[in-house]
Amino acid sequence: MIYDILTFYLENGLNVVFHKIHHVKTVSCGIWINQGSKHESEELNGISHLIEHLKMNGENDLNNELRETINNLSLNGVVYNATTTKEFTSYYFTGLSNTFADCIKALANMSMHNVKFSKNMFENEKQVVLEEANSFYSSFNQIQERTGQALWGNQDVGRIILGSKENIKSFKISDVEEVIEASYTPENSSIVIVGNVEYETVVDVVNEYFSKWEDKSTREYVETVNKYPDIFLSNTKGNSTALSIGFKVPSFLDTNKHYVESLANILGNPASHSRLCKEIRINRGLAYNLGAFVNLYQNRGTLGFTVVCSNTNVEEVIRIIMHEINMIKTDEITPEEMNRAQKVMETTTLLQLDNVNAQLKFLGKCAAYGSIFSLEQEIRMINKLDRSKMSNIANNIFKNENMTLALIGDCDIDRLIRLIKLEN
Amino acid sequence: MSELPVTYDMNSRKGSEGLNSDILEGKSINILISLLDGAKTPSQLAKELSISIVSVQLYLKKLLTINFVKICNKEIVENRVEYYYSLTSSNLEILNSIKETSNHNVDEKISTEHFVKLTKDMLRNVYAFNDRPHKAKAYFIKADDTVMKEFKKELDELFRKYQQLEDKESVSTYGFVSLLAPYENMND
Repeated sequence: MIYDILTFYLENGLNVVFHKIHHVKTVSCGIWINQGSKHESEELNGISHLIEHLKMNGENDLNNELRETINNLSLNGVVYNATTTKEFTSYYFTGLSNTFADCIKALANMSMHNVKFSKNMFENEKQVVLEEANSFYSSFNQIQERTGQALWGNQDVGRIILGSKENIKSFKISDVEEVIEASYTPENSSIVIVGNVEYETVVDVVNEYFSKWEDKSTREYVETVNKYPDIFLSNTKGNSTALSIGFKVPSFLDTNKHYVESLANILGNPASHSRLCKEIRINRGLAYNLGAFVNLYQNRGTLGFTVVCSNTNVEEVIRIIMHEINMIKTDEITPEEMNRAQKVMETTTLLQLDNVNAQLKFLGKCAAYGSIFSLEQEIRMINKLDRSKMSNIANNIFKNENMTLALIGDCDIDRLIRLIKLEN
Repeated sequence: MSELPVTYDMNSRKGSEGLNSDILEGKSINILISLLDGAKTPSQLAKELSISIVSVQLYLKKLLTINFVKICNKEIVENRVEYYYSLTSSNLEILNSIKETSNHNVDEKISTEHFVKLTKDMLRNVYAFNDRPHKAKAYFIKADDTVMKEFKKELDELFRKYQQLEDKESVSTYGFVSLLAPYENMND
């Protein structure tokens, strides 16, 4: 079988990625702009996310064409959404194949023409984002982002996507316009299309709507992260604490990324018989909510083990995490553990393959990084993982100089900090 | 927002606890004394004090919060930034400040390693600044505890007298290290 992923560029530098899936009746298409929180200054941290809200709002009084297109798509059952990450902002539509041209028309309008916003709409959208920030900063959901912030510093992929509430309040329309002008350019964007449409149709439609996009220069960006991890601590009154032990890991483009995901599964997958789940939840009943996460970026990645538990259990939980991480560096991973991790990863990837929207997001991330992989190839790599390499990978990752602690709760940090140490 | 990459929320300390005693009980005092040598990075401090980098980062944040240390420089190599920390004011002001505002006796809290280091540094200066006032002397005697208690009072008085000599405008800096203790069980 041949998996056809085709790429081409328009004259203005816009990258187009097309993956035809013959057996579906739908199409997903989106635009990925390389503008995320990592590209923001400290003062403008959060503005990429606000721009996403403004551009995605189909009720812009100053843009009747977008209102009509969105309304028409909605009447035809098209679903749409947008996402801001550390590294890019994406807007995407999914509908029946015959809605493809209108979806591309809407994407073109959003990215190229939806740049002016009334004062009323602007302030209203800021309020919506502030509400989102209120919810985020008052919850334990921030623990993953805080882990990255502690690992990399308040810069690059360490920046919080939402930005601070003070920042959000202070944003002006002119700030938004300047960032759009500097980053929403063809050379800084990728169009991704996944589904059952013909290649010729893709070329014609994309060319019709996007060839008019002026080829402008994009703002420059130089990556800088902290050489060594920092720490994040925040006091919240209550009986529970959220903690995360984080590590620096290789990037999305690194050939060892699936080994990192295997380690996360073997140690912290809450839905399988992971070592931490067994020791913390099943054997000792110390926590209900625990897990592992892997956030892979273009040039680096974050692996974290998170637990939400009673304040009184935090010390024991940290002892167990440290012990299990030390153990995985010296103990051989059993064939059963390896096989289970591979099957979990394969199943997760296959579920993505069954969903055009999930495929779109995967290809969008690849396109933003300038590298094209396919989910089919990912499965091939997962099945080829070599158990004998796991110990070496674990030893390279689980080092004191790669490790951070993020903690939100009410604990005696002076006691806890003594426990955050691995045997090198 | 601060230049620091990550914030340390000092509210996580209970209100009744004194910050200085908090510092003395942690690794902070060792970090302060290590910084007497000059600016250092967290990784250098971690290596020197044999503690993890996250521990160093925690105590540096405490010291930053109370303005005992500052970020004095940063070095960017291959897009990776490393910060250098130094004491905010002259070395002795920092140590004296802790001593004066703490219920603890800072002398007892300074680790043996650092006491030895301070003494070594001063002994080196005995030779380096041979023409300036100095005194290095050790003498071992057999004596009753009661007699020694009386002598300790006199030593305390001498120490107070020494402290009163401080002239913050002076360009010279002096150290006075005293050590009076039983000389027994030396094989332990």
